Amino acid sequence: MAQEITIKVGFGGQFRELTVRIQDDDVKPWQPEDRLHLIGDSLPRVDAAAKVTGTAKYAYDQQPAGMIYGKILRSPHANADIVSIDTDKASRMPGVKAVLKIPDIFEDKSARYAGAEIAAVAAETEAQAEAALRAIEVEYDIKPHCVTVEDSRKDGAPQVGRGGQQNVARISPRMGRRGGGNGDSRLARQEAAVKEIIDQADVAVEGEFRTEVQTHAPLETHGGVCTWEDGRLIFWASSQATFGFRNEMTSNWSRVKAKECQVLSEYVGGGFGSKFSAGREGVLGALLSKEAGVPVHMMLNRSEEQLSAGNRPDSIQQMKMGVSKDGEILGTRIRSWGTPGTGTGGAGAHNDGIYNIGETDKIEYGVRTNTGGARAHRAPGWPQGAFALEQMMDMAAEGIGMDRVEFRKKNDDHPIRKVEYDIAKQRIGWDQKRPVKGPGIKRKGVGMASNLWFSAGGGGASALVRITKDGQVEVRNGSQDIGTGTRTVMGMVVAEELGLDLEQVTTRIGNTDDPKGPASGGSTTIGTVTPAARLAAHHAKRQLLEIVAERKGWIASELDLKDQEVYKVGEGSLNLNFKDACALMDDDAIEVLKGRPRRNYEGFSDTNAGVQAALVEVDEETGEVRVEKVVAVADAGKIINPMTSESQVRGGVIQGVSFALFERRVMDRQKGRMLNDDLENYKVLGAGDCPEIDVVLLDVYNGKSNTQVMGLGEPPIVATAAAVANAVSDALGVRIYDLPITPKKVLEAIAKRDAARGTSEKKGERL
Amino acid sequence: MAMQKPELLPEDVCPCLRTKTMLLNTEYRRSAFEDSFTANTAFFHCLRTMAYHGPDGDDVCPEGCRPGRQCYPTPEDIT
Repeated sequence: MAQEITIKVGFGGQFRELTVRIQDDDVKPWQPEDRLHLIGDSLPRVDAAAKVTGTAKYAYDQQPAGMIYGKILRSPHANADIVSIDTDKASRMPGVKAVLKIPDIFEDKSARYAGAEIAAVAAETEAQAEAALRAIEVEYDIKPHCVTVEDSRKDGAPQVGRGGQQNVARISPRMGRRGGGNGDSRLARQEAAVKEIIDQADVAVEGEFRTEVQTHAPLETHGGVCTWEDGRLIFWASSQATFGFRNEMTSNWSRVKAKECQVLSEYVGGGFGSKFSAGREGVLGALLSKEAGVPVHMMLNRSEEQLSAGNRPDSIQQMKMGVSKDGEILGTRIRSWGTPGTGTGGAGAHNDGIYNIGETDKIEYGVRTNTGGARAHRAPGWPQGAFALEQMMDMAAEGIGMDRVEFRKKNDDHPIRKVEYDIAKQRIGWDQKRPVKGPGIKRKGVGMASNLWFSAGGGGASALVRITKDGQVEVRNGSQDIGTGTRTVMGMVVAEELGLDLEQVTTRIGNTDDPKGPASGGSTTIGTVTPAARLAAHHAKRQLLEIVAERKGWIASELDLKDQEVYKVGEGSLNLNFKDACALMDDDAIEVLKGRPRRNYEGFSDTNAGVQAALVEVDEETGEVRVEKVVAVADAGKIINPMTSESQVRGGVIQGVSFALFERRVMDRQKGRMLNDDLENYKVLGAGDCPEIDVVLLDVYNGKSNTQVMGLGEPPIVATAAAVANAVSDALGVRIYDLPITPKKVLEAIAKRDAARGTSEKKGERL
Repeated sequence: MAMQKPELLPEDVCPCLRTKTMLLNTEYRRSAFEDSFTANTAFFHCLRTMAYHGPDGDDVCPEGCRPGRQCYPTPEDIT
């Protein structure tokens, strides 16, 4: 059953009416004229004190009685098959309680990268477990390897995979089920058509752009602590998918096959997309614990985290764009390559999103290398795609002599982004003159780039709201908070609906014994769980008001809760506070479980936007790039809590600047090993490198759910590196096509620029 | 014994196949196997190997993890 309602959608004081169909028991989205007492307020996280004082217990902190330590032996070879593993000596070592061989557990005798799992041990102390690993004897059949895209693509390159696997495979458009055809002739026709468009365009620009592998580097590494109690597996996991983790432990096809499993992830020290699966470490932890009969602590160390727990694939993106003199993009050709490690899938780049880029001819290839596998990484494919696309946008604008922002507007239909451009432009000082500092040494520049995201959440989650006779309120959902502020925001939504302060609502999350919730991915968590929480709170409130009305002789439909009191709609307080109203219950509590209402497909916009502008200073003597300021204009539907929202945007910008200037995996091509598998040599942006971040949030009534929340965790990282790169180009007058933008690359670009001066430099052409 | 499939996994795709989008909300899950959406940035892994290759060493992907593949599980594999 559905009901038809009319709502207002829009933003910035510009609203229009829209008639939408919503689920019969759903509540109307908050309207611009509603006087909300919590929603829209900047409130500190409810768990902030616990986190900063150390009382918050992460998976790593768990210490059940009798706990021992699990460790994993990893391959030193980049490409090998396991001939034999002798664990006899290790099994007899002091303190050793369990030993497992990877081929026995995972039906896998290959070690396709240096760091691949070979065996696992559980012992009473970490030192004993490490000593036992050293006692394991492994015979390998060592094979030649290649660890870079360039090496792997060469004719005669060593085979990374097994059987008939080629090193390079087309991943988009997807190959047909049997590997052939799937419209190859259609692709050829499209290639020819786009070539013709570009050839006939007024201006054509092209470039080859490269981004490096970026590891997730969460502060808390992967893994967890687990124990078995009467056949039930209890796993304190560092996970961004509590229910997905549980499924991997209980599935009929899993290695663990637990009959029951409880996953607890009350606090998670970051995931960024890498913690959806339990991973081999999770399975090994559970099996070691089962064999040893005691709890096992199985957390990766930092080296293992860097080697085997995921990364953002690198990319080589070749783009060519044809543009008309009046600024319309007519056609774009894209070819890209990237390595997701030993497979081929997942290494694409979203370089054809955001703008209207005309007829498009795009083919992407995945390239196998003997390196640790990639995983989803905050906005998978988008930051690397934006890095190429946004530079092409600047190059095309320069090619036709058009302002870079106006060129973007010309090729962008998004109603929100059109406003955001001007905000970013004004706040970064786009049109200001930036005098050169010193004798031609330090130059400043500005760059702009855009975000795009597309999630308003969806079904499959439930929330339980409980109001007790003594006035306690609790909301429960089993999903996790990986840093987005889910715990706080869920509490705010329930408190708003019940007319309470946030402190009066307790939020329980991160426990699979509670109602089902989503994995934290695709920036969907808050958009998925808060409509369920609001709906459950609404119906719990109605039940309470029915009781109040019956006991007081009032009419329930005329009552509501506000300012911790029962009031009569249109009249005012009835001098009955929330606690006294709860005391009228005959039973000890009201409990309402509600599923997330069906998504409203109609709304103001299916996507949220976002624009970022960067101001950089480049030292031409040292090559150092300093990002002075990033203006991040963001929208995410209705902003529930500006403080936690800003925190998301700041985090995305920081990770984006880090991607732009510092981060890259360094592989030893001869040895086939990662050289910077730590956080000393793998450079991540530090506090001293952090720019001023000016966050501007637009509050959008999009009508997509009863809380109208859109995704915000990922979009803020999309634009940052691209905006920085464009700003560097603006400062120097020469473009840098490769990330990270290191001093060495800057100095090389300056040298090329200076060498080319005096010749007829073509705008947009790579020097 | 009938093989119970994870929710929304296409009928003839191996039940051991997993990917992130299967764990998100229902709207997202539907897109997990569409070409146009996440295909080029999606990662698939196998529950048996917990890796991007299956027990037969070949890639894990919706196109490849189908009946007829050597490692495609039978009901007996559940026990």
